[in-house]
Amino acid sequence: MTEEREGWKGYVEWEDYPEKKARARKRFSRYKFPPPPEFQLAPVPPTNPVLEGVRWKLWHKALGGALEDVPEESWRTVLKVRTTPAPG
Amino acid sequence: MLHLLQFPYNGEAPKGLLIQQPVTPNELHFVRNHGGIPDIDPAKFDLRIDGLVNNPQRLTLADLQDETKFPRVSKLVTIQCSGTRRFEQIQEYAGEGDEMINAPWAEGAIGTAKWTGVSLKKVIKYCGGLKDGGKHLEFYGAETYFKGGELMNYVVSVPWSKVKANEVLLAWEMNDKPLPRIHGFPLRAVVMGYIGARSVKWLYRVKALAQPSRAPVQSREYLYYQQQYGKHNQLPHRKYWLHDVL
Repeated sequence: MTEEREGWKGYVEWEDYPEKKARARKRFSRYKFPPPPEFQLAPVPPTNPVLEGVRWKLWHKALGGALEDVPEESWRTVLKVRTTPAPG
Repeated sequence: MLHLLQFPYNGEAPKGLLIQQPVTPNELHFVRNHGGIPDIDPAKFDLRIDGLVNNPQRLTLADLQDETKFPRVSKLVTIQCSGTRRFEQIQEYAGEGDEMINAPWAEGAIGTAKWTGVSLKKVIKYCGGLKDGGKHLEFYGAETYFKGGELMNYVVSVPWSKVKANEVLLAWEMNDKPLPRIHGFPLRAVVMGYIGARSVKWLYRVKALAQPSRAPVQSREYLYYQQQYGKHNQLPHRKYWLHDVL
């Protein structure tokens, strides 16, 4: 999974490459992932972040390459620009 | 800030902060992401316009910002995620249970900003207009989206009638500041009066189509089954009968 263009960090093109989509699907299908957290039939966790997105992070790690660091890079960006205090 | 989901990042301002002013400051405007946050060098950026247009083109940010080519417009627009107040909704209808798709928003997934850019209508006109049969515009976001083990870019569409009414902007400024990276820098769509899911961030391609996008975000998500009592409850969906699950 490589980035498509120089200067475009975090951009992998999928729609132009059906064969790449097929390869990624095959790789993805080799892994087993945990179920989503239960937040709909139980109280939402009193934490901030409320939910972590464990599966979404694991999906990116499973594909690797240019997607490997996407979850960490996303959170680093959030911490830089979203610094107002949590409610309560 | 309430960080509802760490990744893909979904966050909203608490209600008390959100209602203090009519125009939402950028740092309080809700963020609904479906993947990572791309980091695109504006000098290396271009927007591809193809499909059913007469003259497919690639336009740089400098092209779009050239006022001799495109009149610049600013609009005050409220964007709302279709899932705002989902925390209450899921007590009635749990949905499929994915923490991103069904993120349990409180009241904050709504915000108003002054968006500056160009009307997509002018850009399509610059590309020679639509070919016969061109009726919808499909937007491509640069982030990677996972759907049931498939990988894709974030893709949705809007009808030409919406674009023709000058209600779709391609924006690079938010409240007179450069579009923040978390809100789609260097370029995003702002679709007035539609759910936020159509206002694609990190927009890199617009493709003219004859029919609405068949991409999963459009055709398999953001669909709501109301507690209806008509004939549609009689149709099977994913092996379930709607009237059994509602």
